[in-house]
Amino acid sequence: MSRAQEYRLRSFEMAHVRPHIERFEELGRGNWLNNVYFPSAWPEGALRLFLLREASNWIRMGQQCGYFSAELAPLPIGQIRLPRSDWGILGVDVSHLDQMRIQSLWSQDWTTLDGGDAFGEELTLAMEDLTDDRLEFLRLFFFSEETEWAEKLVELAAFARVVDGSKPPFSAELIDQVDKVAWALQGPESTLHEFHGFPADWRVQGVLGRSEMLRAESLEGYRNTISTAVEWNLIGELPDDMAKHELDERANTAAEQILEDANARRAEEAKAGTAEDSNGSNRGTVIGEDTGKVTGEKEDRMEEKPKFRQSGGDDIESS
Amino acid sequence: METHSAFTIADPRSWMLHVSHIRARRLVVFVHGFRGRATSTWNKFPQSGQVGKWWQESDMLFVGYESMRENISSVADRLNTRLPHFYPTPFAPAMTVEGIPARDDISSPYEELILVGHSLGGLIIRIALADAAQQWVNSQGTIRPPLLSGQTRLFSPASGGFQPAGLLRLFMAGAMWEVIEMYLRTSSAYTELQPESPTIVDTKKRTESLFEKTGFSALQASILWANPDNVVRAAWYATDRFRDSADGQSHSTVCKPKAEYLRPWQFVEVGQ
Repeated sequence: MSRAQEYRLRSFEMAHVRPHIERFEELGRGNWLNNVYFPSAWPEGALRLFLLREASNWIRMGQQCGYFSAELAPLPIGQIRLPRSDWGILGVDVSHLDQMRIQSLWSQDWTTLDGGDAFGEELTLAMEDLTDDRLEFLRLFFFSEETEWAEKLVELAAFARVVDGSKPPFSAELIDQVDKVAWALQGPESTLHEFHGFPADWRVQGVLGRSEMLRAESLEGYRNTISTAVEWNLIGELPDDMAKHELDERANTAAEQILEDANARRAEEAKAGTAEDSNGSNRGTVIGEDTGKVTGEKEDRMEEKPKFRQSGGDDIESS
Repeated sequence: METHSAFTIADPRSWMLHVSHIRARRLVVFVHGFRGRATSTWNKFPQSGQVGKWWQESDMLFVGYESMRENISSVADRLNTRLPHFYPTPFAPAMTVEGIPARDDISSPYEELILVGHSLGGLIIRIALADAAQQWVNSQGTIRPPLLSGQTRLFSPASGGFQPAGLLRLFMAGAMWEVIEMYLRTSSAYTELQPESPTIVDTKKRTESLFEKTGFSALQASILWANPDNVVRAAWYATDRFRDSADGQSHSTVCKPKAEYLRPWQFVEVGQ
Protein backbone atom coordinates (compact mmCIF):
# COMPACT_ATOMS: atom_id res chain seq x y z
CA MET A 1 0.00 0.00 0.00
CA SER A 2 1.46 3.34 -1.04
CA ARG A 3 2.06 5.88 1.67
CA ALA A 4 1.25 8.65 -0.82
CA GLN A 5 -2.21 7.16 -1.42
CA GLU A 6 -2.89 7.00 2.31
CA TYR A 7 -1.62 10.53 2.82
CA ARG A 8 -3.90 11.83 0.06
CA LEU A 9 -6.97 10.16 1.47
CA ARG A 10 -6.51 11.50 4.98
CA SER A 11 -5.50 14.92 3.72
CA PHE A 12 -8.61 15.11 1.52
CA GLU A 13 -10.87 14.01 4.36
CA MET A 14 -9.36 16.56 6.71
CA ALA A 15 -9.95 19.46 4.30
CA HIS A 16 -13.11 18.44 2.47
CA VAL A 17 -15.05 15.97 4.55
CA ARG A 18 -14.67 16.86 8.21
CA PRO A 19 -15.68 20.54 7.79
CA HIS A 20 -19.00 19.49 6.20
CA ILE A 21 -19.65 16.97 8.94
CA GLU A 22 -18.88 19.56 11.60
CA ARG A 23 -21.13 22.11 9.93
CA PHE A 24 -23.86 19.53 9.55
CA GLU A 25 -23.67 18.80 13.23
CA GLU A 26 -23.73 22.52 14.07
CA LEU A 27 -27.01 22.71 12.20
CA GLY A 28 -28.52 20.62 14.94
CA ARG A 29 -28.47 17.27 13.27
CA GLY A 30 -26.64 15.51 16.06
CA ASN A 31 -25.28 12.32 14.60
CA TRP A 32 -24.83 13.07 10.91
CA LEU A 33 -25.09 9.40 10.06
CA ASN A 34 -28.52 9.18 11.65
CA ASN A 35 -30.85 9.19 8.70
CA VAL A 36 -33.47 11.46 10.20
CA TYR A 37 -34.08 14.77 8.61
CA PHE A 38 -35.71 17.90 9.97
CA PRO A 39 -36.67 21.14 8.24
CA SER A 40 -34.59 23.17 10.69
CA ALA A 41 -31.43 22.13 8.86
CA TRP A 42 -32.84 23.12 5.47
CA PRO A 43 -31.50 24.36 3.07
CA GLU A 44 -27.88 24.33 4.22
CA GLY A 45 -28.21 20.81 5.53
CA ALA A 46 -29.22 19.66 2.06
CA LEU A 47 -26.22 21.36 0.51
CA ARG A 48 -23.88 19.76 3.04
CA LEU A 49 -25.45 16.36 2.39
CA PHE A 50 -24.79 16.74 -1.32
CA LEU A 51 -21.22 17.89 -0.72
CA LEU A 52 -20.63 14.88 1.52
CA ARG A 53 -22.15 12.64 -1.12
CA GLU A 54 -19.87 14.23 -3.70
CA ALA A 55 -16.85 13.72 -1.44
CA SER A 56 -17.79 10.07 -1.05
CA ASN A 57 -17.96 9.74 -4.85
CA TRP A 58 -14.55 11.36 -5.23
CA ILE A 59 -13.09 8.91 -2.74
CA ARG A 60 -14.60 5.87 -4.42
CA MET A 61 -13.54 7.05 -7.85
CA GLY A 62 -10.06 7.91 -6.56
CA GLN A 63 -9.71 4.47 -5.04
CA GLN A 64 -10.65 2.93 -8.38
CA CYS A 65 -7.96 4.82 -10.27
CA GLY A 66 -5.30 4.41 -7.59
CA TYR A 67 -5.16 8.02 -6.44
CA PHE A 68 -6.46 7.22 -2.97
CA SER A 69 -5.61 4.20 -0.89
CA ALA A 70 -8.19 1.43 -1.35
CA GLU A 71 -7.04 -0.38 1.77
CA LEU A 72 -7.33 2.39 4.30
CA ALA A 73 -10.96 2.73 5.46
CA PRO A 74 -12.40 6.14 4.65
CA LEU A 75 -14.75 8.00 6.97
CA PRO A 76 -18.15 6.29 6.62
CA ILE A 77 -19.77 9.00 4.52
CA GLY A 78 -20.71 6.46 1.89
CA GLN A 79 -23.52 5.39 4.20
CA ILE A 80 -25.44 8.67 4.20
CA ARG A 81 -28.78 8.61 2.42
CA LEU A 82 -31.20 11.13 1.05
CA PRO A 83 -34.51 11.08 2.93
CA ARG A 84 -36.67 8.59 1.10
CA SER A 85 -40.00 10.31 1.52
CA ASP A 86 -41.30 13.26 -0.42
CA TRP A 87 -39.44 16.27 0.92
CA GLY A 88 -42.64 18.30 0.90
CA ILE A 89 -43.98 16.44 3.92
CA LEU A 90 -41.06 17.74 5.96
CA GLY A 91 -42.71 21.14 5.91
CA VAL A 92 -40.19 22.56 3.49
CA ASP A 93 -41.35 24.18 0.28
CA VAL A 94 -39.15 22.54 -2.29
CA SER A 95 -41.70 22.61 -5.06
CA HIS A 96 -39.10 24.13 -7.39
CA LEU A 97 -36.90 21.06 -7.13
CA ASP A 98 -37.04 18.33 -9.71
CA GLN A 99 -36.88 15.48 -7.23
CA MET A 100 -36.39 12.85 -9.89
CA ARG A 101 -33.34 14.71 -11.08
CA ILE A 102 -32.04 15.20 -7.57
CA GLN A 103 -32.44 11.50 -6.83
CA SER A 104 -30.75 10.63 -10.08
CA LEU A 105 -27.79 12.92 -9.35
CA TRP A 106 -27.54 11.47 -5.88
CA SER A 107 -27.57 7.87 -7.05
CA GLN A 108 -25.06 8.08 -9.86
CA ASP A 109 -22.34 5.45 -9.55
CA TRP A 110 -19.00 7.12 -10.19
CA THR A 111 -16.96 3.99 -9.68
CA THR A 112 -17.81 2.88 -13.20
CA LEU A 113 -15.83 5.80 -14.62
CA ASP A 114 -12.08 5.87 -14.77
CA GLY A 115 -10.65 9.09 -13.35
CA GLY A 116 -7.34 8.31 -15.02
CA ASP A 117 -4.38 10.65 -14.99
CA ALA A 118 -6.58 13.73 -14.75
CA PHE A 119 -8.12 12.70 -11.44
CA GLY A 120 -5.83 14.66 -9.11
CA GLU A 121 -6.05 17.82 -11.18
CA GLU A 122 -9.84 17.63 -11.45
CA LEU A 123 -10.19 17.00 -7.73
CA THR A 124 -8.09 20.06 -6.88
CA LEU A 125 -10.07 22.25 -9.26
CA ALA A 126 -13.39 20.98 -7.96
CA MET A 127 -12.47 21.71 -4.35
CA GLU A 128 -11.07 25.12 -5.20
CA ASP A 129 -14.33 25.93 -6.94
CA LEU A 130 -16.14 25.90 -3.58
CA THR A 131 -15.57 29.50 -2.55
CA ASP A 132 -17.84 31.15 0.02
CA ASP A 133 -19.79 32.96 -2.72
CA ARG A 134 -20.19 29.78 -4.68
CA LEU A 135 -21.37 27.78 -1.67
CA GLU A 136 -23.97 30.43 -0.94
CA PHE A 137 -25.07 30.42 -4.57
CA LEU A 138 -25.41 26.62 -4.56
CA ARG A 139 -27.36 26.72 -1.31
CA LEU A 140 -29.79 29.31 -2.62
CA PHE A 141 -30.11 28.16 -6.19
CA PHE A 142 -30.54 24.45 -5.63
CA PHE A 143 -32.07 24.16 -2.21
CA SER A 144 -33.62 27.37 -0.87
CA GLU A 145 -37.35 27.61 -0.33
CA GLU A 146 -39.33 29.89 -2.60
CA THR A 147 -39.76 32.55 0.08
CA GLU A 148 -36.03 32.93 0.69
CA TRP A 149 -35.26 32.89 -3.02
CA ALA A 150 -37.85 35.61 -3.64
CA GLU A 151 -36.36 37.76 -0.86
CA LYS A 152 -32.88 37.40 -2.33
CA LEU A 153 -34.13 38.38 -5.77
CA VAL A 154 -35.78 41.50 -4.37
CA GLU A 155 -32.43 42.44 -2.83
CA LEU A 156 -30.68 41.81 -6.13
CA ALA A 157 -33.26 43.80 -8.08
CA ALA A 158 -32.75 46.76 -5.76
CA PHE A 159 -29.00 46.53 -6.24
CA ALA A 160 -29.38 46.32 -10.02
CA ARG A 161 -31.40 49.55 -9.90
CA VAL A 162 -28.68 51.27 -7.87
CA VAL A 163 -25.91 50.45 -10.33
CA ASP A 164 -27.97 50.83 -13.51
CA GLY A 165 -26.67 54.20 -14.64
CA SER A 166 -23.59 56.07 -13.57
CA LYS A 167 -21.35 54.48 -10.94
CA PRO A 168 -22.78 55.07 -7.48
CA PRO A 169 -20.43 57.04 -5.23
CA PHE A 170 -18.16 54.96 -3.02
CA SER A 171 -19.71 54.42 0.39
CA ALA A 172 -19.81 51.87 3.17
CA GLU A 173 -23.46 51.34 2.28
CA LEU A 174 -22.56 50.42 -1.29
CA ILE A 175 -19.95 47.92 -0.09
CA ASP A 176 -22.54 46.45 2.25
CA GLN A 177 -24.92 46.07 -0.68
CA VAL A 178 -22.24 44.39 -2.81
CA ASP A 179 -21.55 41.98 0.06
CA LYS A 180 -25.23 41.05 0.25
CA VAL A 181 -25.50 40.20 -3.46
CA ALA A 182 -22.01 38.73 -3.91
CA TRP A 183 -23.58 35.26 -4.18
CA ALA A 184 -25.24 36.42 -7.42
CA LEU A 185 -22.14 38.06 -8.87
CA GLN A 186 -19.32 35.56 -8.68
CA GLY A 187 -21.32 32.74 -7.11
CA PRO A 188 -22.77 31.42 -10.38
CA GLU A 189 -19.30 31.41 -11.96
CA SER A 190 -17.54 28.08 -11.88
CA THR A 191 -14.02 27.19 -12.91
CA LEU A 192 -15.22 23.70 -13.78
CA HIS A 193 -16.21 22.56 -17.23
CA GLU A 194 -19.73 21.32 -17.75
CA PHE A 195 -20.07 17.56 -17.96
CA HIS A 196 -16.44 16.96 -17.18
CA GLY A 197 -17.25 13.43 -16.06
CA PHE A 198 -16.37 13.84 -12.39
CA PRO A 199 -18.45 13.89 -9.22
CA ALA A 200 -18.71 17.71 -9.13
CA ASP A 201 -20.90 17.69 -12.24
CA TRP A 202 -24.08 18.18 -10.25
CA ARG A 203 -23.03 21.71 -9.28
CA VAL A 204 -22.07 23.05 -12.69
CA GLN A 205 -25.65 23.31 -13.88
CA GLY A 206 -25.28 21.12 -16.92
CA VAL A 207 -28.90 20.02 -17.03
CA LEU A 208 -31.48 21.96 -15.10
CA GLY A 209 -35.00 21.04 -14.10
CA ARG A 210 -37.79 23.23 -15.42
CA SER A 211 -38.28 25.21 -12.20
CA GLU A 212 -34.53 25.65 -11.78
CA MET A 213 -34.55 27.07 -15.30
CA LEU A 214 -36.99 29.71 -14.09
CA ARG A 215 -34.67 30.61 -11.24
CA ALA A 216 -31.74 30.80 -13.61
CA GLU A 217 -33.60 33.05 -16.00
CA SER A 218 -34.71 35.53 -13.37
CA LEU A 219 -31.21 35.65 -11.92
CA GLU A 220 -29.64 36.16 -15.31
CA GLY A 221 -31.85 39.15 -16.06
CA TYR A 222 -30.51 41.09 -13.08
CA ARG A 223 -26.94 39.99 -13.74
CA ASN A 224 -27.21 41.30 -17.29
CA THR A 225 -28.40 44.68 -16.02
CA ILE A 226 -25.45 44.90 -13.63
CA SER A 227 -22.80 43.75 -16.11
CA THR A 228 -24.07 46.05 -18.87
CA ALA A 229 -24.08 49.03 -16.50
CA VAL A 230 -20.51 48.38 -15.37
CA GLU A 231 -19.29 47.84 -18.92
CA TRP A 232 -20.73 51.18 -20.05
CA ASN A 233 -19.21 52.89 -17.03
CA LEU A 234 -15.80 51.43 -17.83
CA ILE A 235 -16.09 52.68 -21.41
CA GLY A 236 -17.22 56.07 -20.14
CA GLU A 237 -14.04 56.40 -18.09
CA LEU A 238 -11.75 55.95 -21.09
CA PRO A 239 -10.15 58.85 -22.95
CA ASP A 240 -12.50 60.08 -25.73
CA ASP A 241 -10.72 58.46 -28.67
CA MET A 242 -10.50 55.09 -26.95
CA ALA A 243 -14.12 55.26 -25.84
CA LYS A 244 -15.16 55.98 -29.42
CA HIS A 245 -13.15 53.00 -30.63
CA GLU A 246 -14.83 50.73 -28.06
CA LEU A 247 -18.29 51.99 -29.02
CA ASP A 248 -17.57 51.45 -32.72
CA GLU A 249 -16.44 47.91 -32.00
CA ARG A 250 -19.61 47.13 -30.10
CA ALA A 251 -21.77 48.66 -32.83
CA ASN A 252 -20.05 46.47 -35.43
CA THR A 253 -20.43 43.37 -33.29
CA ALA A 254 -24.10 44.12 -32.71
CA ALA A 255 -24.69 44.64 -36.44
CA GLU A 256 -22.97 41.35 -37.24
CA GLN A 257 -25.05 39.59 -34.61
CA ILE A 258 -28.31 40.99 -35.98
CA LEU A 259 -27.34 39.84 -39.46
CA GLU A 260 -26.37 36.40 -38.18
CA ASP A 261 -29.63 36.04 -36.23
CA ALA A 262 -31.68 37.09 -39.25
CA ASN A 263 -29.91 34.56 -41.46
CA ALA A 264 -30.39 31.82 -38.90
CA ARG A 265 -34.08 32.68 -38.59
CA ARG A 266 -34.53 32.63 -42.37
CA ALA A 267 -32.78 29.26 -42.57
CA GLU A 268 -35.00 27.86 -39.81
CA GLU A 269 -38.14 29.18 -41.47
CA ALA A 270 -37.10 27.67 -44.77
CA LYS A 271 -36.39 24.34 -43.07
CA ALA A 272 -39.71 24.43 -41.19
CA GLY A 273 -41.51 25.25 -44.44
CA THR A 274 -39.98 22.19 -46.07
CA ALA A 275 -40.90 19.99 -43.11
CA GLU A 276 -44.46 21.32 -43.14
CA ASP A 277 -44.74 20.61 -46.85
CA SER A 278 -43.60 17.03 -46.45
CA ASN A 279 -45.60 16.23 -43.25
CA GLY A 280 -48.64 18.25 -43.99
CA SER A 281 -48.29 20.06 -40.64
CA ASN A 282 -45.74 21.70 -38.39
CA ARG A 283 -46.43 20.38 -34.92
CA GLY A 284 -43.42 21.72 -33.00
CA THR A 285 -42.89 19.89 -29.73
CA VAL A 286 -44.12 16.32 -29.85
CA ILE A 287 -46.53 15.32 -27.11
CA GLY A 288 -46.56 11.64 -26.30
CA GLU A 289 -50.06 10.43 -27.21
CA ASP A 290 -50.48 7.97 -24.38
CA THR A 291 -48.90 9.81 -21.46
CA GLY A 292 -49.03 13.44 -22.43
CA LYS A 293 -45.35 13.67 -21.58
CA VAL A 294 -43.40 16.33 -23.42
CA THR A 295 -40.86 14.19 -25.19
CA GLY A 296 -38.94 17.12 -26.68
CA GLU A 297 -38.32 18.59 -23.27
CA LYS A 298 -34.71 17.57 -22.75
CA GLU A 299 -33.55 18.95 -26.07
CA ASP A 300 -35.36 22.22 -25.35
CA ARG A 301 -33.67 22.51 -21.98
CA MET A 302 -30.26 21.98 -23.47
CA GLU A 303 -30.76 24.64 -26.12
CA GLU A 304 -32.31 27.25 -23.90
CA LYS A 305 -30.31 26.89 -20.73
CA PRO A 306 -28.97 30.19 -19.46
CA LYS A 307 -25.23 30.51 -19.45
CA PHE A 308 -23.73 31.63 -16.18
CA ARG A 309 -20.17 30.67 -16.66
CA GLN A 310 -17.79 32.97 -18.44
CA SER A 311 -14.73 30.84 -17.92
CA GLY A 312 -13.54 28.07 -20.16
CA GLY A 313 -12.95 30.03 -23.35
CA ASP A 314 -9.73 30.23 -25.29
CA ASP A 315 -8.08 33.05 -23.47
CA ILE A 316 -10.35 33.47 -20.54
CA GLU A 317 -8.89 31.32 -17.89
CA SER A 318 -7.83 32.78 -14.60
CA SER A 319 -5.32 35.55 -14.73
CA MET B 1 1.80 9.19 -12.05
CA GLU B 2 1.16 11.65 -9.25
CA THR B 3 4.36 12.80 -7.57
CA HIS B 4 2.72 15.33 -5.24
CA SER B 5 -0.36 15.54 -3.03
CA ALA B 6 -2.49 18.59 -2.33
CA PHE B 7 -2.64 19.76 1.27
CA THR B 8 -5.22 22.45 2.00
CA ILE B 9 -4.00 24.93 4.59
CA ALA B 10 -6.58 26.02 7.14
CA ASP B 11 -4.86 29.28 8.02
CA PRO B 12 -4.22 31.32 5.94
CA ARG B 13 -7.34 30.27 4.08
CA SER B 14 -6.99 29.64 0.37
CA TRP B 15 -3.34 28.66 0.58
CA MET B 16 -2.50 25.23 -0.72
CA LEU B 17 0.68 23.22 -0.49
CA HIS B 18 1.48 20.56 -3.07
CA VAL B 19 3.72 18.22 -1.15
CA SER B 20 6.32 16.10 -2.88
CA HIS B 21 6.61 12.49 -1.78
CA ILE B 22 10.37 12.52 -2.12
CA ARG B 23 12.91 14.76 -0.40
CA ALA B 24 12.09 18.37 -1.38
CA ARG B 25 15.10 20.58 -1.95
CA ARG B 26 13.18 23.74 -2.69
CA LEU B 27 9.94 25.58 -2.11
CA VAL B 28 8.31 27.28 -5.10
CA VAL B 29 5.77 29.92 -4.06
CA PHE B 30 3.07 30.95 -6.57
CA VAL B 31 1.04 34.17 -6.21
CA HIS B 32 -1.81 34.58 -8.70
CA GLY B 33 -3.15 37.72 -10.36
CA PHE B 34 -6.36 39.74 -10.62
CA ARG B 35 -8.55 36.85 -11.37
CA GLY B 36 -8.10 33.45 -10.23
CA ARG B 37 -7.71 31.11 -7.43
CA ALA B 38 -4.69 29.69 -5.75
CA THR B 39 -4.03 26.82 -8.16
CA SER B 40 -6.35 27.05 -11.17
CA THR B 41 -4.58 30.20 -12.41
CA TRP B 42 -1.49 28.14 -13.02
CA ASN B 43 -2.92 25.47 -15.29
CA LYS B 44 -0.49 22.52 -15.29
CA PHE B 45 1.99 23.86 -12.72
CA PRO B 46 0.46 21.76 -9.92
CA GLN B 47 1.29 18.68 -12.01
CA SER B 48 4.88 19.80 -12.60
CA GLY B 49 6.25 16.65 -11.00
CA GLN B 50 5.69 14.99 -14.36
CA VAL B 51 8.08 17.44 -16.04
CA GLY B 52 11.30 16.38 -14.39
CA LYS B 53 13.44 15.83 -11.33
CA TRP B 54 13.80 19.53 -10.47
CA TRP B 55 10.05 19.72 -9.99
CA GLN B 56 9.79 16.37 -8.23
CA GLU B 57 12.21 17.75 -5.65
CA SER B 58 10.06 20.84 -5.14
CA ASP B 59 7.16 21.52 -2.81
CA MET B 60 4.79 24.06 -4.33
CA LEU B 61 2.96 26.62 -2.23
CA PHE B 62 -0.02 28.23 -3.97
CA VAL B 63 -1.01 31.47 -2.29
CA GLY B 64 -4.68 32.38 -2.64
CA TYR B 65 -6.35 35.70 -1.89
CA GLU B 66 -9.39 37.65 -3.04
CA SER B 67 -8.06 40.09 -5.58
CA MET B 68 -11.27 42.10 -5.84
CA ARG B 69 -11.77 42.51 -2.11
CA GLU B 70 -8.49 42.42 -0.24
CA ASN B 71 -6.04 45.25 0.21
CA ILE B 72 -2.98 44.33 -1.82
CA SER B 73 -0.59 45.60 0.85
CA SER B 74 -2.28 43.29 3.34
CA VAL B 75 -1.77 40.33 1.01
CA ALA B 76 1.92 41.29 0.75
CA ASP B 77 2.10 41.55 4.56
CA ARG B 78 0.56 38.11 4.93
CA LEU B 79 3.09 36.63 2.52
CA ASN B 80 5.91 38.19 4.52
CA THR B 81 4.68 37.25 7.96
CA ARG B 82 3.48 33.72 7.17
CA LEU B 83 6.33 32.54 4.98
CA PRO B 84 8.53 31.69 8.00
CA HIS B 85 6.05 28.88 8.76
CA PHE B 86 6.83 27.38 5.35
CA TYR B 87 10.49 28.21 4.74
CA PRO B 88 13.21 27.16 5.31
CA THR B 89 11.70 24.33 7.40
CA PRO B 90 8.81 22.54 5.65
CA PHE B 91 5.32 23.35 6.96
CA ALA B 92 4.94 20.87 9.83
CA PRO B 93 1.15 20.25 9.68
CA ALA B 94 1.50 19.11 6.07
CA MET B 95 4.43 16.82 6.71
CA THR B 96 2.41 14.33 8.76
CA VAL B 97 -1.34 13.84 8.39
CA GLU B 98 -3.00 11.64 11.00
CA GLY B 99 0.23 9.81 11.62
CA ILE B 100 1.04 9.34 7.94
CA PRO B 101 4.27 11.11 6.91
CA ALA B 102 4.36 12.74 3.49
CA ARG B 103 7.84 11.34 2.79
CA ASP B 104 10.85 9.77 4.45
CA ASP B 105 12.57 13.07 5.15
CA ILE B 106 10.07 15.54 6.56
CA SER B 107 12.40 17.78 8.52
CA SER B 108 15.39 18.75 6.37
CA PRO B 109 15.24 22.42 5.46
CA TYR B 110 14.81 23.51 1.88
CA GLU B 111 17.90 24.68 0.03
CA GLU B 112 16.17 27.13 -2.30
CA LEU B 113 13.19 29.47 -2.43
CA ILE B 114 11.64 30.46 -5.76
CA LEU B 115 9.01 33.25 -5.84
CA VAL B 116 6.66 33.21 -8.82
CA GLY B 117 4.05 35.90 -9.45
CA HIS B 118 1.62 36.62 -12.22
CA SER B 119 0.14 40.04 -12.95
CA LEU B 120 -1.12 41.53 -9.67
CA GLY B 121 0.69 38.68 -7.91
CA GLY B 122 3.93 40.09 -9.34
CA LEU B 123 3.29 43.45 -7.75
CA ILE B 124 2.38 41.78 -4.46
CA ILE B 125 5.71 39.93 -4.44
CA ARG B 126 7.55 43.18 -5.23
CA ILE B 127 5.82 44.96 -2.33
CA ALA B 128 6.49 42.05 0.05
CA LEU B 129 10.17 41.97 -0.93
CA ALA B 130 10.57 45.72 -0.44
CA ASP B 131 8.89 45.44 2.98
CA ALA B 132 11.20 42.54 3.90
CA ALA B 133 14.32 44.45 2.83
CA GLN B 134 13.13 47.49 4.78
CA GLN B 135 12.67 45.30 7.83
CA TRP B 136 16.25 44.06 7.44
CA VAL B 137 17.53 47.65 7.18
CA ASN B 138 15.45 48.80 10.17
CA SER B 139 16.78 45.96 12.28
CA GLN B 140 20.34 46.88 11.22
CA GLY B 141 20.77 43.46 9.70
CA THR B 142 19.67 41.47 12.71
CA ILE B 143 16.36 40.29 11.23
CA ARG B 144 16.48 38.66 7.83
CA PRO B 145 12.98 37.71 6.61
CA PRO B 146 13.02 34.40 4.68
CA LEU B 147 11.52 36.08 1.63
CA LEU B 148 14.90 37.71 1.02
CA SER B 149 16.37 34.30 0.25
CA GLY B 150 14.12 34.01 -2.79
CA GLN B 151 14.78 34.04 -6.50
CA THR B 152 12.08 36.11 -8.17
CA ARG B 153 10.31 35.16 -11.41
CA LEU B 154 7.43 37.28 -12.64
CA PHE B 155 4.98 36.72 -15.49
CA SER B 156 3.65 40.03 -16.88
CA PRO B 157 3.77 41.77 -13.49
CA ALA B 158 1.40 44.65 -12.85
CA SER B 159 4.31 46.80 -11.65
CA GLY B 160 3.30 49.60 -14.04
CA GLY B 161 -0.43 49.40 -13.35
CA PHE B 162 -3.27 48.93 -15.79
CA GLN B 163 -3.21 49.96 -19.39
CA PRO B 164 -5.83 52.67 -20.07
CA ALA B 165 -8.37 50.07 -21.23
CA GLY B 166 -6.82 47.24 -19.20
CA LEU B 167 -9.75 46.73 -16.88
CA LEU B 168 -12.14 46.65 -19.83
CA ARG B 169 -9.91 44.08 -21.56
CA LEU B 170 -9.99 41.91 -18.43
CA PHE B 171 -13.76 42.33 -18.32
CA MET B 172 -14.12 41.19 -21.91
CA ALA B 173 -11.60 38.36 -21.57
CA GLY B 174 -13.79 36.47 -19.14
CA ALA B 175 -12.97 38.07 -15.79
CA MET B 176 -16.22 40.00 -16.00
CA TRP B 177 -17.53 39.40 -12.50
CA GLU B 178 -14.18 39.92 -10.80
CA VAL B 179 -13.89 43.26 -12.60
CA ILE B 180 -17.46 44.17 -11.68
CA GLU B 181 -16.78 43.56 -8.01
CA MET B 182 -13.40 45.28 -8.15
CA TYR B 183 -15.04 48.29 -9.78
CA LEU B 184 -18.13 48.54 -7.60
CA ARG B 185 -16.11 48.11 -4.43
CA THR B 186 -13.51 50.61 -5.66
CA SER B 187 -11.16 47.96 -4.37
CA SER B 188 -7.49 48.29 -3.54
CA ALA B 189 -6.50 46.51 -6.75
CA TYR B 190 -8.62 48.97 -8.72
CA THR B 191 -7.28 52.15 -7.16
CA GLU B 192 -3.68 51.14 -6.58
CA LEU B 193 -3.18 49.88 -10.10
CA GLN B 194 -4.03 53.15 -11.76
CA PRO B 195 -0.86 54.26 -13.57
CA GLU B 196 1.41 56.42 -11.42
CA SER B 197 -0.53 55.55 -8.26
CA PRO B 198 1.48 56.01 -5.04
CA THR B 199 1.80 52.22 -4.71
CA ILE B 200 3.16 51.82 -8.23
CA VAL B 201 5.63 54.68 -7.87
CA ASP B 202 6.73 53.92 -4.30
CA THR B 203 7.28 50.21 -4.86
CA LYS B 204 9.64 50.92 -7.75
CA LYS B 205 11.55 53.60 -5.83
CA ARG B 206 11.81 51.51 -2.69
CA THR B 207 12.97 48.41 -4.55
CA GLU B 208 15.71 50.27 -6.44
CA SER B 209 16.90 52.13 -3.39
CA LEU B 210 16.83 49.10 -1.09
CA PHE B 211 18.77 47.06 -3.61
CA GLU B 212 21.45 49.78 -3.60
CA LYS B 213 21.63 49.52 0.18
CA THR B 214 21.34 45.78 0.68
CA GLY B 215 22.24 44.01 -2.56
CA PHE B 216 19.65 41.27 -1.95
CA SER B 217 19.31 39.35 -5.19
CA ALA B 218 15.66 38.61 -4.39
CA LEU B 219 14.99 42.24 -5.39
CA GLN B 220 16.26 41.47 -8.90
CA ALA B 221 13.37 39.95 -10.79
CA SER B 222 13.40 37.90 -13.95
CA ILE B 223 10.39 38.81 -16.09
CA LEU B 224 8.54 37.06 -18.88
CA TRP B 225 6.07 39.36 -20.61
CA ALA B 226 3.06 38.32 -22.60
CA ASN B 227 3.14 39.61 -26.16
CA PRO B 228 0.74 41.19 -26.82
CA ASP B 229 -0.38 42.22 -23.35
CA ASN B 230 -3.38 44.54 -23.40
CA VAL B 231 -4.10 44.47 -19.67
CA VAL B 232 -1.05 45.84 -17.85
CA ARG B 233 1.62 48.37 -18.81
CA ALA B 234 5.08 46.98 -19.37
CA ALA B 235 7.32 48.63 -16.80
CA TRP B 236 10.80 47.69 -15.63
CA TYR B 237 12.82 48.37 -12.54
CA ALA B 238 16.50 49.23 -12.84
CA THR B 239 17.15 46.21 -10.65
CA ASP B 240 15.53 43.61 -12.94
CA ARG B 241 18.04 40.99 -14.01
CA PHE B 242 16.33 39.42 -17.04
CA ARG B 243 13.40 40.13 -19.28
CA ASP B 244 11.94 38.51 -22.35
CA SER B 245 8.56 38.12 -23.99
CA ALA B 246 6.50 35.11 -24.95
CA ASP B 247 5.15 35.88 -28.39
CA GLY B 248 1.59 34.82 -29.05
CA GLN B 249 0.75 34.57 -25.35
CA SER B 250 -1.82 36.86 -23.78
CA HIS B 251 -1.82 38.36 -20.33
CA SER B 252 -3.85 35.40 -19.08
CA THR B 253 -2.02 32.58 -20.82
CA VAL B 254 1.61 33.68 -20.37
CA CYS B 255 1.89 31.85 -17.03
CA LYS B 256 0.02 28.69 -18.01
CA PRO B 257 2.26 25.83 -19.12
CA LYS B 258 0.91 23.03 -21.25
CA ALA B 259 2.22 20.47 -23.71
CA GLU B 260 2.45 23.04 -26.53
CA TYR B 261 3.84 25.83 -24.33
CA LEU B 262 6.69 24.65 -22.09
CA ARG B 263 8.34 28.03 -21.54
CA PRO B 264 6.76 28.74 -18.13
CA TRP B 265 8.34 25.60 -16.66
CA GLN B 266 11.74 26.51 -18.04
CA PHE B 267 11.39 30.13 -16.92
CA VAL B 268 10.59 29.21 -13.33
CA GLU B 269 13.32 26.61 -13.20
CA VAL B 270 16.23 28.63 -14.58
CA GLY B 271 14.95 32.21 -14.46
CA GLN B 272 15.24 32.88 -18.18
